[in-house]
Amino acid sequence: MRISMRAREFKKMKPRELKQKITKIIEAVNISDPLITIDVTAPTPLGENLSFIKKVLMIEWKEIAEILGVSPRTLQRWRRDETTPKEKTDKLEKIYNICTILLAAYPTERLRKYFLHSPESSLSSWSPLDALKKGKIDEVYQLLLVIAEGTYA
Amino acid sequence: MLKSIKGEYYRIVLEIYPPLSTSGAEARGGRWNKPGEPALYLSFSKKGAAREVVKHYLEKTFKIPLKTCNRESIEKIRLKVPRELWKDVQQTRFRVVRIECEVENVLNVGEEKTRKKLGIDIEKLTGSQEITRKLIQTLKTKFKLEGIIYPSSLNPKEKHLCILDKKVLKSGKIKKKSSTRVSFSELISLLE
Repeated sequence: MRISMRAREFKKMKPRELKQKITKIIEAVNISDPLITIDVTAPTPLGENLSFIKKVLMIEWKEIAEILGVSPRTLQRWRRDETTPKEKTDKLEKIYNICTILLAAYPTERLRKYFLHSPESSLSSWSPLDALKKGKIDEVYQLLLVIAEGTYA
Repeated sequence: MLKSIKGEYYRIVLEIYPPLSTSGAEARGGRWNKPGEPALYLSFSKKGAAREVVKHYLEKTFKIPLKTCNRESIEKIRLKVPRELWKDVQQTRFRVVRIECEVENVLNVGEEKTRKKLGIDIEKLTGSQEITRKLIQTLKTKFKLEGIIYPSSLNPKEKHLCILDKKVLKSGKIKKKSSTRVSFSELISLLE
């Protein structure tokens, strides 16, 4: 188990509140003398996450903008970490999760390309990539979850 | 008819996937749960879990429906698929997860005597999911079921366990005991 918080949140916190939070975790892990370590890490910049999405889907930036439903200009600003998205964050997170599963299920570009471009019956015969462009993000995510965990019929 | 069970069961997931996650079954629904209802599907053996995962992986990847999943049917797919893609598939890594469970009020519809008492035939259990999803609603109300043991539709000799109760799923009664990284070819070899 872990606590993740931004530095500004930590600074606002009273020492007692922090102790209470950590105590809760110690009780939950149910080990007699657990080791507590504190890592201070920089959040992954949005630009890096977008580059990961591009690498996994193997498409152009304008196609990523189409999938996210934003203008290429907005996407460019996000990529350069000039602005952060105020909306579309859910979509962005879902697509990131889709890409994480995709990369694990299809580690080679060739295999991933084959999967992304083949028509799929559960996506009304759209290919997963076309389905993403049509806004069927949840459907593609569900398809990948079946691949990730199977279904025990 | 109802019994309490305590034992070890198996699940196979993609390497990066959380071993106890119910997200997939909850999102799409399964044989015993409707979309939106959490459920954890496990198998009594590594072989049973491997059969389900390999089937879905191959079907969803190569769009070739599989009625069963054994060495013979996999060999048929291998011959249809371009050689380089088949080679690539071998790079995919999964995890065989051994899970310890303690569940009460479990109905074993894999047993003939239980099916007779309930008036259910085996075809119903391995047929359409619409039928089994309706059936489980009735059984849940009648028996306050926490889980169900049922024969696999891919190989009725293999048994699966579905844990349906939300409280049980969130409790500490379901624990990961071990997790082993395996390649796709190792999964296929489990089916021998």
